[in-house]
Amino acid sequence: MNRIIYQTESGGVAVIIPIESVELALKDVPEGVPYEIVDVDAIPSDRFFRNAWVMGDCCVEHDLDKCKALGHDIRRQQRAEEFKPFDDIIAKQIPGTDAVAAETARSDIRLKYALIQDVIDGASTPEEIKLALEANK
Amino acid sequence: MSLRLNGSTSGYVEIDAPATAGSNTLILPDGNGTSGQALQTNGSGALSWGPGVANDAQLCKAWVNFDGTGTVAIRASYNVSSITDNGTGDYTVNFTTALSDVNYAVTGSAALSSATNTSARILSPRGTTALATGSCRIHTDNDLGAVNDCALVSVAILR
Repeated sequence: MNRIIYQTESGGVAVIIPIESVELALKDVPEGVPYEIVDVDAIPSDRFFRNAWVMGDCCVEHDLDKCKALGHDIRRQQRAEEFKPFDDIIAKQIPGTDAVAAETARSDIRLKYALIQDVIDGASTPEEIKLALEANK
Repeated sequence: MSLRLNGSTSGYVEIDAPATAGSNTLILPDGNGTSGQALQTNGSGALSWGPGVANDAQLCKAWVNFDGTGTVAIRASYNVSSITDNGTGDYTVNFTTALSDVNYAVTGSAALSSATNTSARILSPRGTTALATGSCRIHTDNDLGAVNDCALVSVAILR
């Protein structure tokens, strides 16, 4: 079944998924907001960068700058998760643990994520950003 | 064959058997029941007074079960005209027939993957302004409060 799309106040895209028919679902478009009826194939099925979707000429497209911003958010989250066990060792000075080794590990993590940051900044497609983040998992 | 009871002034009430009647005996209950009750059968012809139709406030006014991942898809629903996908883990349930007011209850559940029940997520209305008579905006979060798309999202509206 087709979808109804319209631009949100924040510049993103809302996608209406009708149940019975598109005609019945037209009432669900906010009053006065321009909309388009598109084929379901015009909507990306990969929602990795869902909040970076924008209205394109014929279909929903990705805003690369928004993808990069989302990519950096994910990168920071991933880095914080990797830092966490070493942060604990350094901050709490837990007896029997090697604070120097923890600091070295933190340095390696910092270096790895600096490279990912460069890949994100230099990416020309959302796929490049996703690949860099997923390769790190 | 039918049984006709004539009104004392005019008209009548008639009880008919179906054209192909079989051999059935229906036994009426021995009391009048209470207000709102309905006749029910035990399957063997003995009739009694039962609960009848539920009070309107006891009924679910709308519900939907959908997949919020990949190409968002609705599996089944009642009194829902559509779902609006607003963003990651952010959906609006649009009602076919609007509710009488916004003082309804929203309940539901969300699971990250439909293949396992170990990835439960939190489903809640998106703020106090999320409830409108024609729709309800919900979001699905992980335990850290970050929005997540979920494969199994169920929402029910009670009023």
